[in-house]
Amino acid sequence: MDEATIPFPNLEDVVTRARRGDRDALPELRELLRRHPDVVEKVGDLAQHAQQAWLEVLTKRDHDGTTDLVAQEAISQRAERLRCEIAGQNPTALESLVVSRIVLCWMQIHHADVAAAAAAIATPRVLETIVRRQERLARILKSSIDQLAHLRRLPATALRLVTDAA
Amino acid sequence: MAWESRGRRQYFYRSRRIGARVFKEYLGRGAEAAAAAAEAGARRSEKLLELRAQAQFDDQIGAADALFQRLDRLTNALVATAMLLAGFRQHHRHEWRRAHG
Repeated sequence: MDEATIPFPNLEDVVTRARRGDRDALPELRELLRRHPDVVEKVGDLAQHAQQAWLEVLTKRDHDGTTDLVAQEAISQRAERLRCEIAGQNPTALESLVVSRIVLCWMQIHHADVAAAAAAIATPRVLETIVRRQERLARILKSSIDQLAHLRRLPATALRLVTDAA
Repeated sequence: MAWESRGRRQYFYRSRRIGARVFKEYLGRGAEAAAAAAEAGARRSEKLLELRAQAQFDDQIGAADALFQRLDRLTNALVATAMLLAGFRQHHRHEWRRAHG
């Protein structure tokens, strides 16, 4: 997915300003969401691209570069089950996005575990890289779970509130 | 670390760092020199193997990792947007609390 397909590339900057207490940033966020109501959907597309890319990483055979399609289907189905279990019934689009990130963390942690165990690449330097990745993924996973809990506590997500108000 | 030619003969020198300075240590052409040269060769091979393995790992996950990192940043921004617009403020970049006033 190229940069142009994601609406308002300055979203992160406006959010940072809002977090720092800039009062002008909140109306700006509302306006951005009003003008681009499909932003969560667009980022959801990015999540699908990322999942496909990680499926390929996980199932590419090292010796000849081909893809193990049976393994790909099995992992894909398992990821889908995990997604359904975590998302529950009627998740909002934003909750689904956070769930996608949790599923992607699960796939990457699996990859990191296999990579660490593989003697062929487990040289100290690579192992160090993998361990750092595992630590980073664990942090992202925990933060995603926290975010999901926060979102579920909202009576409705702000995105839905903004849409209703528009 | 290298064999250096002096006339028709080769002598082995080893570099050593002491503090900020690097010294060249003469090991000659005997058994000690051969052992040091073998050790240096083994270290170089090991380093090359590490670099290749690292490059292979980076190649393997590079594109997929970049997609994920982008997704991670955008998802964080969208969740923060939802929380901020719902009247919450984040304390110390962790806990979200309802803002007062």
